[in-house]
Amino acid sequence: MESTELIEERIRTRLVKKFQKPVTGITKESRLIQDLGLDSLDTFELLFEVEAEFNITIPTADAMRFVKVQDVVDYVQSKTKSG
Amino acid sequence: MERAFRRVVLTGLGVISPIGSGKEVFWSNLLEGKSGTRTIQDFDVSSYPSQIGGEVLDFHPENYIPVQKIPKMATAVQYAMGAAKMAIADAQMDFSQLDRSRVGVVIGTGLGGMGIFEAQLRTLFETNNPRRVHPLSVPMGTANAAAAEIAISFGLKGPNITISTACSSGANAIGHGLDLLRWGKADVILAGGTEACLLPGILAAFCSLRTLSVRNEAPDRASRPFDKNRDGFVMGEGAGIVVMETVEAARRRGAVIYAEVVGYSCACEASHMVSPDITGTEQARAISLALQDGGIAPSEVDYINTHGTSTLLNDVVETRAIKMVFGPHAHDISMNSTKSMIGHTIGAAGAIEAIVCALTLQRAIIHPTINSEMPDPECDLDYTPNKARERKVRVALSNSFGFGSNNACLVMKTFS
Repeated sequence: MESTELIEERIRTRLVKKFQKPVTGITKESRLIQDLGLDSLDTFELLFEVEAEFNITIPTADAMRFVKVQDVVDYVQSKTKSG
Repeated sequence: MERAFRRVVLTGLGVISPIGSGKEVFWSNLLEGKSGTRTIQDFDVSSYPSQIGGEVLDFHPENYIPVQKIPKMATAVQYAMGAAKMAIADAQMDFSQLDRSRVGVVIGTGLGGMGIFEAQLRTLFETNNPRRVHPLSVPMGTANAAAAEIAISFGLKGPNITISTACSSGANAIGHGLDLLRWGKADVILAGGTEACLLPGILAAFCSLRTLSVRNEAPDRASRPFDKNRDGFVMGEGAGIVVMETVEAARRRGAVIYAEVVGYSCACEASHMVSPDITGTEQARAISLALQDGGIAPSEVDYINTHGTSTLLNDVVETRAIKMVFGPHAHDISMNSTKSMIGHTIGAAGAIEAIVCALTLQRAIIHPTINSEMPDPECDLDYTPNKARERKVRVALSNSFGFGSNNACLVMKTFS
């Protein structure tokens, strides 16, 4: 199982690469829409990237609950733990 | 003659093409007779019957599109964005001074963002996992992405239309723009066409249709409209977009006017998906309808930018149609085929060729039809072989004949 820090780093890298966000501007507390400025399409793209990165499947109903980067990290951790 | 509808002029031109982007580079290469068709470099074509294409080499999307948006746009959309920005700059149009709900966009494209779907299908079949198909495939690949992205980029809230009539899409887009302006549904229209068709699947499909030149050993000489030894067309990529506006709108802002668009026809042969009526009667009908729409007598036409594809059938039938409409005057008209240099840019062709008409009207030079080596007895008109010729042109006709037997003609004249 991966550490929370490593998962967070991998998600952060994806965000930086995909959406040209400054690394320093992304923390676990960053809200995807309000703080990082992702729109609905960006969010779908992020899910697509995270699914590929961690080889998991994120149903839309689960994704609807993601507000902060932390939520995504937690979700990935729970999924990779159970897998 | 008193006209019942509003007059429409061209005030800005933008072009991306295999012989250069921007109207000045494009125009000077046209006059020099430079070929833009070569062996396709973008993917391995060694197993293809036809290996020739007009690829765009000098397009730098970062000059026209915010860097983070570039990967979210299909190539055809990027070309359209580039050509639209060029046209707007050329027209010196400042949308902040206009009511943007009166500015519309009409874009023609044959294949739209097909490249996106080709790539995603490859991923799907390679992974056998539908979840690996990219979530932006639909908005990126949809046919109307170009028109939508242009509107979003400039906040243009008027009519937003995409026209897909294969090889006549670009001409139909400008014609529809003319109609919208005449009907008073907008005051300014960005109209044109875009195409990025040099894709593995699309090239294979056109090869199987046996419409492409197989002169692989001499790719720059493969597109040879009206020449006896022509053996098919060459696909090309690019975009052409114009700023069209009512005379009142152009005058109000002191715009430089290239030409007036006076006539447009749109007529279907309703007979066959790919073959034209070989007598030329149907294409002649389309030409006549455009002249009537513009209140132009056949004897007034000085110049025709032909559809001139370099296929065996098109060039003979188009010649027949022109003779049918113009009679003996057909021999006094200067003609050419832009496709001899850039290939057939499908949905962009009619728009790029309308831009050629506008520049011809403004600059009084007819660009050559290159690769005219062996005259075809059945194509015996003046196609301006190999060398540009100076000629004052007052009225220009542009022909576009598309698969689906859809024929579109535009008539333009010097503005006075």
